[in-house]
Amino acid sequence: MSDAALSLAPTDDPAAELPAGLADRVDAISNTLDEPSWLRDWRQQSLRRAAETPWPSLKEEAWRRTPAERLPRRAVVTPPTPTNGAVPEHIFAPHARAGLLYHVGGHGVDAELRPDLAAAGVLLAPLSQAAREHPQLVQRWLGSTHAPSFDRYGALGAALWTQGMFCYIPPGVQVDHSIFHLTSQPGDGSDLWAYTLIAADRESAVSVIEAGAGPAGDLRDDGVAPFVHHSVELASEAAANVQFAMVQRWSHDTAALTTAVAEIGRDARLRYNSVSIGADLDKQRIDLELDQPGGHADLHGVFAGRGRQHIEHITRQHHNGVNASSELLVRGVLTDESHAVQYGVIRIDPEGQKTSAFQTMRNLLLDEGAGADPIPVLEIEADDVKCSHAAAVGPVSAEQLFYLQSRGIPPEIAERMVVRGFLAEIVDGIADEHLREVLDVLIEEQLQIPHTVVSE
Amino acid sequence: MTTAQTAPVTPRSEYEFGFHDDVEALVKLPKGLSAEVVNTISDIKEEPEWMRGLRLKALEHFNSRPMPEWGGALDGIDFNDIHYYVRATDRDESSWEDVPEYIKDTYDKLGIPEAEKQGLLAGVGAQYDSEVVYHNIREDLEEKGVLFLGTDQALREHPELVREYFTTVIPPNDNKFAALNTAVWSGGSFIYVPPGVEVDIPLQAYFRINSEDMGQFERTLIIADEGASVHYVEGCTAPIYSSDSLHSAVVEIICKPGSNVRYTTIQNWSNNVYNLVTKRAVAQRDAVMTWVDGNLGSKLTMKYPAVYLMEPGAHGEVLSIASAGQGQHQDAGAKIVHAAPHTTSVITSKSLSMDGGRSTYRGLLKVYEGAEHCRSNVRCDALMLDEHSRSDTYPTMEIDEKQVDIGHEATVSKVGEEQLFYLMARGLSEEEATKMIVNGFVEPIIKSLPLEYAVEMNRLIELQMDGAIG
Repeated sequence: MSDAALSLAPTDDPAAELPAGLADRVDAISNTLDEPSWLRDWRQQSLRRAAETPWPSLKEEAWRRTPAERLPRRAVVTPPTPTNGAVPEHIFAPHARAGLLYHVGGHGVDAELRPDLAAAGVLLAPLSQAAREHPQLVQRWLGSTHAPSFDRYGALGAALWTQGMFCYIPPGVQVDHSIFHLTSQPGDGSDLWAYTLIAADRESAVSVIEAGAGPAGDLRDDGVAPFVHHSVELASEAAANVQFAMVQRWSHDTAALTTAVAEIGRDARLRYNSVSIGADLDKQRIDLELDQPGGHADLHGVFAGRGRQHIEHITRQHHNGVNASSELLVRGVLTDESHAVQYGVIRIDPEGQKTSAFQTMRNLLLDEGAGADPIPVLEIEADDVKCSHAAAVGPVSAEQLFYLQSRGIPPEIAERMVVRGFLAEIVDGIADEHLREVLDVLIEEQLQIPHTVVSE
Repeated sequence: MTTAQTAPVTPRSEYEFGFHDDVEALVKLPKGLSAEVVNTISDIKEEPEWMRGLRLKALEHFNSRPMPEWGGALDGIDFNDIHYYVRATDRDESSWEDVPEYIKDTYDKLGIPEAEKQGLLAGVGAQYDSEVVYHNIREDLEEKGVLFLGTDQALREHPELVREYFTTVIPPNDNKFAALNTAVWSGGSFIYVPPGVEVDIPLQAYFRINSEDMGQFERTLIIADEGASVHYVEGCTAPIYSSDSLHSAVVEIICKPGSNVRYTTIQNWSNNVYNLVTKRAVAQRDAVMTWVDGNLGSKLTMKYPAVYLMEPGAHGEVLSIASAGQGQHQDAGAKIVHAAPHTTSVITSKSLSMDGGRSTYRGLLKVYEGAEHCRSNVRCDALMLDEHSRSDTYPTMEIDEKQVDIGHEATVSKVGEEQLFYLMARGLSEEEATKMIVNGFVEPIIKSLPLEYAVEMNRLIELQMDGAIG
């Protein structure tokens, strides 16, 4: 199928509309995935919402630092073609796991779940399949956050996804090992629209680790950026405990956009780890909704930029429940001419009394051409709160290097140690041992440490 | 302005400068803004042609530029419902005795001549509506070549000096309100301090809006030559009318190598004034520029004093204190641009929100590539005194250079129950205890003020808190 004439770059032209052919494209995707009619209708409804919603303005704070020219001018939206195959080599998953779902070429080709968990009522399936087999459960959770109405991208994400995942943990079930979900960019260079829906019922516990993978290097040779849109809905009921990690390693020419919303239930806990390694442009929008009493959410972002990569974290910690807390922690290392933006908002409504909310953004610059714009924003309308934020940008501390070298450690190893130590606050906080090890390797590979010898 | 009927002005408790003089102005241009109005202002002032041309060009820019959509709510401003020029007297006196009686009376009520009499000031200027009515400077400073004049007078007496620097720091097309000011500016202070001259005690100016529906557009230009130092202090008050006034000043400061300039503002406009001000300084090699910005009054203030650090060794500092009570929005902050290596800056902001008021810190810290080894520290703290108020922090950092040391921290909190308990256990009332805690909170900024202003600032904050607490 040919490329759709859909520009994916936002524009300030209010007349910029979506092409008419998209509705047929949505039907084709839904038919190929053998979806029930209610899900097809839901997609079409999302598409109509997308048509009614203008592109975000490039003047908005959340967009004005985005190099929009690096978003593709046309979409390559194709229905998935069924593929058979084993887990590709570049995708990782350990043997000790609770479950695994992976997509190749846009089709969910394998889903496995430990039998005892399946017996306990845990569900792990491609979203289309779950919609067929467990319509009531999926209907209860799909669209329960505002991810599908986030903005035009969010609405398109709900209409156009081809790699969908549904994971449900019944009340009281504690999943002891991580569940892995692997998405991959189509090898033909078309776009990837992924949809993750995780619902943790009351007093349940789960850890889900997602990996998004593309080929190392560029995916297309025509200069058009492959596009990835990843919708994430995380719903947690009372006292649930959810650990979610997303490690993205998209191809080097990819423009990636994440639209993630987490609803934190009463006394529930969420730890969201976001790891950015790949892509040319990676813009992650992550909203934490704390509208119930006693919820707690941690949002930990870690990134390693090289080349001309542009990495953005647009986050929102929205408190309108009493006595909830949240903490944003972003740490990243930037080399070459890579650039990072963190625009994080703590928003506390008048109802959000006794909130504790914090933000920390730290950027380590390893090269002259690298840069960072950390912007931590507070909007507070309740008085009985504890809020603070801190942001910093700077090079590897000469003192730390000197200290290590004076103990006989060569400069390049000293630099590696400082970078590792800088990221430790986040990497070491990841509960899954396998993921911690993978991250260490990925980050060192990405930054090509020892990168430069710091002379000053 | 048009909001008068729909949104009655809420008087801040005991705003003591809310009186006005009931006198006919000598010249009062009809309401509205046009090339004719701009030409008339230029005619009245008998200006050189280049200034008239500049004004007209700025007017065009103002007309073509949309209203800013960020910051506070500006929809209450009707540019056609403002008198752009109101002149009460035809003279700029250098002797207090010659100032018309009713104006003198106004300033007596504000307590201004008192400070001059006591020798606390090196010079005084006073602006009443559109024109400067009084200027005086200590003789010894005058002998050293220090100029302290109304900007109009400076344009008449030192046209070349004014022309050399005017709009070099803030071009007419910088923003909509800077364009407006450039088109209709009147009054303001002009200060020139010759090389090596240190003005040891502050020069001071008082800005007073008296007329209703009036716009005050003063234009201040300060040039500190090499190694010079000067401290300028301005205070602002206005009567309480049922309709709103507009104050839109432009302040340009040039800090030449090794100079030291401190600019202190105690803004205490009544709650019916839109205060939309552009203030910017350039600091050359080893110069030190400090803005001390106290915002207590006005309906809406949007003001972000800026320092452009243009050469190595320059240091910029902004100390900002804002207090928002009922019906007020203080959208204040700071902007520092590191455009050269080895430059340093500090921003310290303290804001109070009470009685439904909204305080916003909005700042920009920009480091250009190549501005190596610059250091900056930004610290913003907000204190909320009740649950109806709002506090926002919008600190933006754009860092394009690796060899830097940049940090930012902010906190928002309420008056601690433990602190209150401790003080009340020692016999203080809740109100006294709260005031004491607030005093402690703002102290780092207050202590940077000259003593009499520190006293004044504390008093103003206390006045604002009366009625907000208890």
